[in-house]
Amino acid sequence: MSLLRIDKIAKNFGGLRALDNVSFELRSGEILAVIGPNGAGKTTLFNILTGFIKPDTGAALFQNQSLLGLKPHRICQRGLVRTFQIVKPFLELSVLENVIVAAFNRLRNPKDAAQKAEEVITFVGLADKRRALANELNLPNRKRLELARALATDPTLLMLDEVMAGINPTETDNLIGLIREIHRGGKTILLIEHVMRGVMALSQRILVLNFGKKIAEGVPGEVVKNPLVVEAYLGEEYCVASR
Amino acid sequence: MKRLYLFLGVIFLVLLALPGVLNNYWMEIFILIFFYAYLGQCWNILTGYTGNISLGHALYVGIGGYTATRLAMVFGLSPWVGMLVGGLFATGVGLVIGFLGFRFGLRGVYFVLITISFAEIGRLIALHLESLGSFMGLFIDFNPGFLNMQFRGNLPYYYISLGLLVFSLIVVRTLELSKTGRYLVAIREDEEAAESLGVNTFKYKMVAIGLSAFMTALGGAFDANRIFHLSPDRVMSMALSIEIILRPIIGGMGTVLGPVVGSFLITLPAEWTRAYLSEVGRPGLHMVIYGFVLIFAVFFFPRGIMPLLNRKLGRFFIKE
Repeated sequence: MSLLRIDKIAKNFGGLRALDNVSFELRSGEILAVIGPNGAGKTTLFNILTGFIKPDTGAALFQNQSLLGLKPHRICQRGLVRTFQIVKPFLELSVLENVIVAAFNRLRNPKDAAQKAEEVITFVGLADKRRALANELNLPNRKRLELARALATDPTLLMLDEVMAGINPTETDNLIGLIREIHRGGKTILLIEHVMRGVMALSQRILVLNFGKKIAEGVPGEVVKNPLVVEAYLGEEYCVASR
Repeated sequence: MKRLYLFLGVIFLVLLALPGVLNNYWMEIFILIFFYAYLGQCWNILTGYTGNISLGHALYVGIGGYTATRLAMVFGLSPWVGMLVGGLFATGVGLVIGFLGFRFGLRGVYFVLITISFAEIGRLIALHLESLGSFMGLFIDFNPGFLNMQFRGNLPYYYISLGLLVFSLIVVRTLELSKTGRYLVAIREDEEAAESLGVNTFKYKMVAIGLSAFMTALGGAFDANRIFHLSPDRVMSMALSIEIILRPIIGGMGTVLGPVVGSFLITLPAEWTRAYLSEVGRPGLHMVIYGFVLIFAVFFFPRGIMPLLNRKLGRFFIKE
């Protein structure tokens, strides 16, 4: 069953075509990675799906209901939540308070929200930092906090925008393990990622964007061998040379 | 936390008994301390917790005062009821201001400008409407009695202002622990992140400005029936708006006790400065001094006194 269906989404920023009739489907329970060079339109796609910007044309259906025109908070309440590439913690609040805000998405009672937040914090491995202010955390921990907040909203679909960027390989492996566990817990995941180690380890399917166009889609092993993809990432000359 | 509540309880009891040993002048000073702490707390809800800076809170004080007074003069309505009507009226005006600002996502300086311009509009309306006494203002006839909220001597005003302050403390503390309060702080910290985590930022900012305006207007009605006079330059002026924000900024914005601490610290010196400078024929110069105090405070205590107190005394009062 398709959880999310994107149909011919297009978006122009002035003269720049950020997304050019992109279509794809995401099945329930799947991990799909969206990759592509800088400026390929990945984050624009996320911003459209989460209601931060409106597409020029196209449709986006989540659980067979249109997402377009909804405010971001409504989309979150529907069960689609995102993290930000540049993490946006509530800096002056403690880790616990950060996550409590998110937990209120599904819960009304402060006690329930606090309990849910504690569980999620323990799950992502920040239990010993729960009283620390978010601005005291280092980048890997801020990424975990970003993840914890997204999880605490109790989403159906989790969209992760470069959670592995800027952290070291050990931390990356830890995060991969964590995301696997989230997936096993029944969440569908849409990844934007540059770190190929993460993409290859996690994704069941990969979608490649370049200059706003979908240039390839398929299982990881095939996609990375696709000449168009190699060209997009490494340049035309590399492709010619390796032939 | 228990120790802190106990400590505050003891202070409250002391304040309840204090009028026994205060002369009239000091009673007046304490009323001002409570009153400005209360107004600062109301402002704190919008600015300290939600992060939208208002420099026009005098507008709501004025609306509360004028509404309650006019209703009392024309219909003989008790100010106790009038203050609630004024509060609702102020809420309406606050929601209009909020709607205009928040719908277009105005933040920072641009929101400040909206609040200033609306306060100016309010002042000009009061200044030119004959029914509001225009520039002479309204003089309230003295008919002492509980129903009229008018009393001989300062003692009842002392308890009413203390009551208002305690009421605001309870409201803000309850808010702080509630879903709404958590959402407000999240909006202050990062609006986009809050929105993406399911916070209807527009709605909650409207709640904040509505509540803040309502409570501020209650203070205005109280003030009118204590001074027995309302004039645009006193209750709707920029000077009052600045007076309101001074205490929470110095005490610590976004904290329950900040406005109270700030008020206890600076009300007395501020009052002395104002009175002295008026006496020596330099009225208004106190605003210049306020300006310097504010610059000094923001420079050395950007978050006010509360973080300092938390570091020094927090461990004693709040055990985890």
